[in-house]
Amino acid sequence: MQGQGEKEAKFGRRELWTKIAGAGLAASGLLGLTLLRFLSREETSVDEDDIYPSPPPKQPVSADAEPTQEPVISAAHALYDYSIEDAGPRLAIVEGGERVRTLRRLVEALGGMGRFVRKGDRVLVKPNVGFATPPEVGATTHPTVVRELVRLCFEAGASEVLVTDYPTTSAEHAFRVSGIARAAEDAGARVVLPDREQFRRVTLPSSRLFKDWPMLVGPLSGINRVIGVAPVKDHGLSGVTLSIKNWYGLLGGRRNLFHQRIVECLVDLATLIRPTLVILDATVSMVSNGPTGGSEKDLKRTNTMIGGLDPVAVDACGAALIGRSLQELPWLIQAEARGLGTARWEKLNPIRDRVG
Amino acid sequence: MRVVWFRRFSQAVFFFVFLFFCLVSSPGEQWYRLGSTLGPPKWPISWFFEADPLLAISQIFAKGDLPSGFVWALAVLAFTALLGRFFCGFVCPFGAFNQAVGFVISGLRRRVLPLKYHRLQSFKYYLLAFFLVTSFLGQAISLSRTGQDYAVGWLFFGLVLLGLLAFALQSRGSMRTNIALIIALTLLWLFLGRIVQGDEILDSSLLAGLLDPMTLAYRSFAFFVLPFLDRGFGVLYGSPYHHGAWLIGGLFLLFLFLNIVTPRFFCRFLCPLGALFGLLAHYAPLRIYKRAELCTDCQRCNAVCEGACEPVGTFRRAECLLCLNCLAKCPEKAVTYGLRPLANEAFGPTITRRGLVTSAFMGLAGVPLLRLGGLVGPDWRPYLLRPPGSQPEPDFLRLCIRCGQCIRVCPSGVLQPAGLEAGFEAIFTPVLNNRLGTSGCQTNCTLCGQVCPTGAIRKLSLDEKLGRGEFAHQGPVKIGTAFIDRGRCLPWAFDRPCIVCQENCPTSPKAIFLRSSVRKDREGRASKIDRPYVDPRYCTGCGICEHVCPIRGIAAIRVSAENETRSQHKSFWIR
Repeated sequence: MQGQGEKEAKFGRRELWTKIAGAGLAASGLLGLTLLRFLSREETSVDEDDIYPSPPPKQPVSADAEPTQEPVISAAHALYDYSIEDAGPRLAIVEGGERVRTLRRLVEALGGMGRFVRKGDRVLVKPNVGFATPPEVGATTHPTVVRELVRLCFEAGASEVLVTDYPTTSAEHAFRVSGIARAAEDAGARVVLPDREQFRRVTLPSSRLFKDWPMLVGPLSGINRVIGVAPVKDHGLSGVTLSIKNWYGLLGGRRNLFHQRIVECLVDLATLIRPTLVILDATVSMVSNGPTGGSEKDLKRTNTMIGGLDPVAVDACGAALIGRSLQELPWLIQAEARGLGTARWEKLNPIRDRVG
Repeated sequence: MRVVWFRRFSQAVFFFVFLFFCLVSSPGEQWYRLGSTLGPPKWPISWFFEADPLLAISQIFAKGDLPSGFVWALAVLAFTALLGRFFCGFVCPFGAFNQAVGFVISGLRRRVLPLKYHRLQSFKYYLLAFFLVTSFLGQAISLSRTGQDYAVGWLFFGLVLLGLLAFALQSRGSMRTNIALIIALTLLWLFLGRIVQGDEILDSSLLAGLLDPMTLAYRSFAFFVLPFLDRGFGVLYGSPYHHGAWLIGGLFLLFLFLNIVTPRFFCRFLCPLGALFGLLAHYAPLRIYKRAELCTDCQRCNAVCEGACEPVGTFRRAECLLCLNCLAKCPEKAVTYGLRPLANEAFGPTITRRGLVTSAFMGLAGVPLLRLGGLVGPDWRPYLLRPPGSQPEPDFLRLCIRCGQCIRVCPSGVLQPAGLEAGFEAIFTPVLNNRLGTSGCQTNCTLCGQVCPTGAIRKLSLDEKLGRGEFAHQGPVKIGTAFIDRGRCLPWAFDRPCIVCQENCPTSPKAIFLRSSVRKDREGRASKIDRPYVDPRYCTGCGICEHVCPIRGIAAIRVSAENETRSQHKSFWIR
């Protein structure tokens, strides 16, 4: 524009050198910062490819590289085995309409939380936070149960409790709307949101599906005990969704593709991780229109909580509770055939009790 | 000197409050978040828009009504009429940003920038006229027909006439011609109003939001600057993607770099809000003036003047941004700010009658130009999905200021600023984009309507959105309907089990239901397969199914705007 009258200052050699030096300083500062960030980053984290997994690298990344705990050889070759072997009861069913008391009685019936969590243990609690729906809808684990479970862990001497899940919508949103973020934090647990850094590529050798697949196993590092806690819900594809389907939340990437082989996927999930304890909260069950529900008509008061060390037995018991037969649930039969547990749960002589 | 520091302080405070409102515009319980997804928002995030008289007047012109929050704008107008363009100098965050950038640039260049007046600074007044006329067209027609319905509209129409009259009094042309022109135009308007039918072509459209500094700055920071700065940290944004970001960011960078040409380029040449303030500031009793007896004509004030109003020469009152640099720079204390009767100082820009008539005509032709293509008529874009509670499209375009707050607060990020795909007129307005969102429209959320400052998206209660309680007879608010593309759907096209859409469908009963059949594959093996169907009675068009569909290129189930609640002509379903 009207710059004709302006005097352009003479650009001397000294000024040139000052400028070059300044630019150099700025550039090296930037470079340093980038380098720092790069170095402090965990090297195994996956990047954008989370969403579109690339073909497996020539040397598959072994998930066993995670120094989480001493590998325990079990019949099922689980990658993540947190199960305990002792002579205590393996299945308990407690009736009761009030969640806190029922849960406490259930854990007592199984031998107390001290059986599962020792002093100084680091515990991961995995609720079902699949959707951003409030607790009344019943599509997610009830926050009261999460809160009480976390408290029980701390009472048993846990040094840290983490709560995580990978919802179908924005994680932060789902954790907040479901009330689970607040409940967990109230009780002193730390909520780990599924950021990209929390995913690693995992290969389950016995599986056709889980090959170099991004999974939410970041929160497992340094964990000794894993407790799954799920609601009892109807499900279009797999019949019901219970404690084993709850591990679907560990799958990253385009996990929707696994619906094409849902039976195989559920059996693989049961193989992938063997939790210390699983709990089904069937105080209110979703008997239709699952797994999202949305109306009171979809819910039924079943006033029961089921807990146990054998996820297959617990799920079979939960399915029976809402009147689903084993024949409708081929994944339970196949899981039993693979030696992952017993689908005929009555054989385990479940402890039965009633509160209030 | 002190007054300049006060100005800088004020600018900094308002700029950071503006940024803060932009940052807190996401749902959450922490103090730095908005609160629940059902509203109302904890922070007054719409304040900058509500204090913007251009947006307020445009709405009154376009709709004949104004949400009560915009009372701030009237206060700003009143103070401007008294103090001059204090908003530009002390409040406007975009002005502060441009001034800071200009300051840095002139510092880097170590020379005095050309801060002289340029005759094209009058361009912004023509822009203002254009925007006001585009937002007034439809209203003008309906006013002449059913004037009594719009008390506020009439009031402001009176104000327009008064303004024109005042301009006529000021203008250099013959007074008689000017008044005759105004009377002729009014009669023409009343006459045309009797014979012309308003429709969606001869209609109002609130285009001012495209260049209004508040909405421009909000869009730029929320969808370009902050996501860009947040990359690598991932603290502020769950998803960094915003459709049309290139356009938003491109405009922002353009205005940023125009500060190289001259500081506060946008404010001087383009800002329609500044033009509106300028018209008022011209008559402000309090203003900058020079005590001629003290002035040594050293020109120091002119060199630092942000608005190029040239306090030393013919002071251009309308261009004065109240940066007050002249006060601080004057060694003789000859420049003062204070009460002064109207003198024969220059208005500032020369607004010619010819220019004004041209821009007004462009404004009249503007909306028909955009609408004769039929995008708001029969050629509506099926994938232009508006957020739940949106007004019918013509009303929506009368009200949406394109601020982008609804987009910023959307918890699943499914709301996105439109690019050019739905036509120029829909640019930057909120559209659901089921590819970019982290999920579809969330069932338990009405936040977009809660934060909408103008009511383009109505404030819905959850009961109304879901069609419960007293709204049960209406059914849920629908954005559109999902359609299954059977040639792409895994169970339909390839006999593969899938039904992820059915699993995630959030309505009760599910809008996506299953029918089982036994199919033989080409080798003759029989298997049972569940296939999804959509029940349009229950489908709300939330788009969660489209988002989760494993076919990612062109999803096998897609939502389009058929059956949306807000317009009858897009429905195909008889209840």
